Amino acid sequence: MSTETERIEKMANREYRYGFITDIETDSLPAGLNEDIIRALSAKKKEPEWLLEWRLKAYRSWLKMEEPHWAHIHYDPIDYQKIVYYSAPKNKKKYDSLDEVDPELLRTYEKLGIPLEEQKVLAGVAVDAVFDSVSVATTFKEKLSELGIIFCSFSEAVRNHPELVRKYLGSVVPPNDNFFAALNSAVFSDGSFVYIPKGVRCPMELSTYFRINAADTGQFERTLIIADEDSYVSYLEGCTAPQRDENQLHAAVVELVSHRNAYLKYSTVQNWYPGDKEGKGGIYNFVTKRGICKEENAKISWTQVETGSAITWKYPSVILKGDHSVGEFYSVAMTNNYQQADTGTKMIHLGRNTRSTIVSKGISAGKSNNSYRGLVKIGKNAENSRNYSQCDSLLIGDQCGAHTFPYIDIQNPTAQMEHEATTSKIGEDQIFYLNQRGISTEDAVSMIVNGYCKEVFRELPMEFAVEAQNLLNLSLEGSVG
Amino acid sequence: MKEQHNSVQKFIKQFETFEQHLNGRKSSAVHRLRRKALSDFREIGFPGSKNEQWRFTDLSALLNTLFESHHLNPPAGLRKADINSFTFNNNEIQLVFVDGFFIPELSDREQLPDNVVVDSLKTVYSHQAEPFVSEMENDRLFQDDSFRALNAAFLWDGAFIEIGSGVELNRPIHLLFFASKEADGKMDHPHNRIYLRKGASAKIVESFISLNTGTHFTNALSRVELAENARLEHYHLQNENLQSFHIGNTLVKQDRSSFYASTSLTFGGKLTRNNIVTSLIGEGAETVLNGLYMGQADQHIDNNTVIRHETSAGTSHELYQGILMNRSRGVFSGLILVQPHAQKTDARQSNNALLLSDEARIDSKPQLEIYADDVKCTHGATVGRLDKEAIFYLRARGIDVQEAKNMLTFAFAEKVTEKISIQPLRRIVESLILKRFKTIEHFNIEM
Repeated sequence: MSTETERIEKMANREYRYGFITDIETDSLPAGLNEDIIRALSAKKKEPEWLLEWRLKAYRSWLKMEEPHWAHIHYDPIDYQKIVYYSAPKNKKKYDSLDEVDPELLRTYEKLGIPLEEQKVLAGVAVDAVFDSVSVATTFKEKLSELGIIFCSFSEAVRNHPELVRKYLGSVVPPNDNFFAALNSAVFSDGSFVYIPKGVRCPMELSTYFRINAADTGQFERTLIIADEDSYVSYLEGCTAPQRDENQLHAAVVELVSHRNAYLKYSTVQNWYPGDKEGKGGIYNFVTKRGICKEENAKISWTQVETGSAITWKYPSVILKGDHSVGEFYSVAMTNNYQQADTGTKMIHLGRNTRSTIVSKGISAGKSNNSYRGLVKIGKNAENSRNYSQCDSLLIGDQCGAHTFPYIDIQNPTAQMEHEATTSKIGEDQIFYLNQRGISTEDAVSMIVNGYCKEVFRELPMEFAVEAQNLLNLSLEGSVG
Repeated sequence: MKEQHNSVQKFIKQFETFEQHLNGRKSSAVHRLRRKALSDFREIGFPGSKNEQWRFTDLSALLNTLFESHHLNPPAGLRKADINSFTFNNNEIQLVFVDGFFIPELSDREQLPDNVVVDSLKTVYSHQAEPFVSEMENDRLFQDDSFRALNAAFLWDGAFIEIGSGVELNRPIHLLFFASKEADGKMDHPHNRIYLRKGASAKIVESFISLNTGTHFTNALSRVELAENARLEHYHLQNENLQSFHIGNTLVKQDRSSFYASTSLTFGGKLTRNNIVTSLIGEGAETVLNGLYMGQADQHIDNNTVIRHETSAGTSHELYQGILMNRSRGVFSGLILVQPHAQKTDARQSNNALLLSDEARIDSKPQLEIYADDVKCTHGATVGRLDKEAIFYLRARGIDVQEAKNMLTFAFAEKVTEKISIQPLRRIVESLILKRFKTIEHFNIEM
């Protein structure tokens, strides 16, 4: 047992593989936050007046709000005046082909395993790579625009499609929704915008790779995805971040709108720097993600694999407003060392015959704490609504914590709601069974954990599923005896 | 915030009146304890709407009502015949309290075995004030909870039960708490202390009944301590009137290999909140928490349980079944806490709610907080209405709809009632369920 434990520790203590910093000059605003900073930021981005007003309004309501502390996480107070709210790579020229892109940037992507040119051809994935805060390269644009699909950076959308942005921005997550959403609304730098027109099935997975880079830069992404009637889109978000000592704040907002008969699928693989094994450094990830099924038969599906960040505070939610609409949430959250995760979902049933499924798999190792926090609310008029929730936790090591905090609020008798949760460790008998068949303990653990997460992984697009499995193995491999 | 302050002041004022009636007893050690509790209460105040533990239960109706403290004169005129229908009439040991006063004439303590004390708390603390006070102080029950603090501040009477080591008591002990016809607008803070020494075993039933129809407030607290290998079955039946407010606190400490089974049965009260906290501080202790609640009219029933696995090899099983009709509202909140050294813990929790009308509502919050790895913990929650297929099955066999629904509802409740080992109590509970079928027209909901 003890040699196994040692081996496990060795595996678990492996250095963060994606820790490196790219040297590119950045064009940043001074640290701190006030109305002038917001005006400067807005001016730099050449934004219209209404957007500046919108930001200022959000900022003013943010000033009146208090940072929430109800989650099962602990961290040192954040000094919002020490954060740099805007930084963009200096080289702002537009490229027509990849050859023109700064080779330093391209090398970064290669290290991350995103060979743009290869993906373009082989994987059929259009990549809108966000480097820090400004989109640098967007591919497959022409192909998509033939179908009328808009897939661009947020700033571009503000310039080229202001009517769409204005209509939907803040319609799902209002600027004063919560502390971090308000902060994001005031200072968001860039992000992605997707619009799928009526009746269009997006022919490829849309993907954005985020990467936090410049030191002390808060990353405030804003994503807005609209699937119009009878359309389909699958969107992928994934990220890795370089090694850093100071905590970095990330407060993104993602809004999804799914219209009649539309199906919107959003997948995330999150692998930001989790801090070192002493719990020093790492990303603070306070994200507001919410989707609305606006009309009948709309569907939104969230899939997330969370292995990174020092602190994760994230509850992708679905408002099931349209009758017969469907919400899904599949999640794997893995924490190790001193990581803390408080994540889950909210399913708000408003329409009739709405259905939701929640499958959450938590894995805690080391000295980490992993909480599932979720809400299932079935409103008065949500006749015949159904929810099925399953939250399992796996504990690896005797110093970690796994917690489950589901909230269930049912106001309609025709609703059917089932919730199940289990917490356990990997059974010695399971490992023994595999050992007997000549499989090493390490491989056995990896197999068992992958089997445990399979329900979630199979919801991921192929390319992502492979990456997710690798990430999980990396942060976990053999951490059980 | 201001209203909060006002209601705290109201209670403090009542305390002053209560204090005046005490005359010479004001300087006693027990009264110093009351004052300490009151100053704690003053500091804590009442939980606000933002308090996570009180999120789904709005206390304003309770706090806006003025309740007077004890009148310090035992009510007269209640006879055995008046309370007969609430007793088991089965050779049980019985303590009767009316409006907070112990009534020896209505109680029955004959032929107590050796090493068994069943007495009124007031008798005990009047004779042995010092040990009682120091124990209360060590217990630290009222420092962090408003209602527990109020209970200690208005400490007057309750039951004191001590079962000596090795005594296996086979007669149940029945504690009856009546609100008499004079109890309108009054409040009562019964305080029970229950000790089972090594290897002792007992069955204790607490019944709360109103004989009046007006509003009154019961703020009960039971402190239970189980030594090694002790076994206790503890029942809590609440059938107060639909204008009344009931806050119940049951706090249990369990030593090694002890067994504690609680059955909480709630039928009455406009607003009920039951808190049960069990701490498994000795290895291999076992806890069973069962609950049945049945809401009608605009009743609000909130069950809040906490099971603290402090050390290894503990087992806990929890099952709460709720039936909600009319505009009633149920809240279930159950926390299973497994501390870092509580390895080999086996904890299971399940709570199910049946919504029988369009306006009924349930908020459920099962929680697991686990800091040890070699554990098995599960919780499950379901909410729904009666199974159409089951109704159809019964109808196909010639049973009419109404009866089919009654049968299924009864069976749903039976998951808890079948575990009641005191037969007379089980019959009382079953008749309370059946009574609801006749008087409530909730079964005409559309299927």
